[in-house]
Amino acid sequence: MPYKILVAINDVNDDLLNTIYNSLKPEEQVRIRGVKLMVMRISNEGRLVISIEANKLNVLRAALHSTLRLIKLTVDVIDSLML
Amino acid sequence: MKLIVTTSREPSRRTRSFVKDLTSTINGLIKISRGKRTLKDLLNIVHSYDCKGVLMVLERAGNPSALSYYVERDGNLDRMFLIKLSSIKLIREISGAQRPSSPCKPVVDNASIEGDIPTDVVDVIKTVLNAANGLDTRNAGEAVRLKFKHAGTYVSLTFECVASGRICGPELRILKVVSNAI
Repeated sequence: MPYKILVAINDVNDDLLNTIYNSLKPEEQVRIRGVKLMVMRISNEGRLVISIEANKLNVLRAALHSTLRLIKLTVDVIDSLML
Repeated sequence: MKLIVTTSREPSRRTRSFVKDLTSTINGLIKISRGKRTLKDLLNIVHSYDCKGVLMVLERAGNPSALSYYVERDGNLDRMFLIKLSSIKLIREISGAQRPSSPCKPVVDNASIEGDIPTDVVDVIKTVLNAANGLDTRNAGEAVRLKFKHAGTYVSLTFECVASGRICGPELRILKVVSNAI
């Protein structure tokens, strides 16, 4: 695929990282408009890497936007539960 | 520097054990289950782990037959070296061998080479495993010595624990090395 972007999340609480990982993992199964998403949890280093691939730049931009929004929603839900 | 170690698709039990032995012996090797991953998927994993490349264990008739070393070139994984093996011995098949408690740093020093060993074999193994030249006495307890021995048609590579002097890894019988480096 011609366009690819990597999003790495570092230095975050381990439980929050697991929650984000589990919320994004099902998205790997969805293939719409040729978008390929891959989520990898690197346990030893406490890092989460999200790789998004797409054929067109506008599709990649939309997929990245959706992914970031989903991460934000997950963090917001955790935040509301903590209050 | 880290290196991803994986197998070909649908590996045999012996190949999986070999990968397990190798990753538990050498520091910086990360074992990845192949599953249905393509080379492009492996490239994503290389980026995620920030590795220098991929070492793929190929097999023939259920036995590891070659190690293929891939590095990233122009956005793709390109094969740089192919290390052909005549056979291997797992840790459990070597009498008196021990499994290291934690992975150790590989070292090549004066005591490493016995007999006439082709220099390309030593160089390629050093490149792939990121072995240090000479033993640092401060970290001798955490080092594993690569021992190359000429044995007829093949070169025997064993891993010797510097502290105890015992074999602490699988034995590789290397037939030859094919280089695709530009």
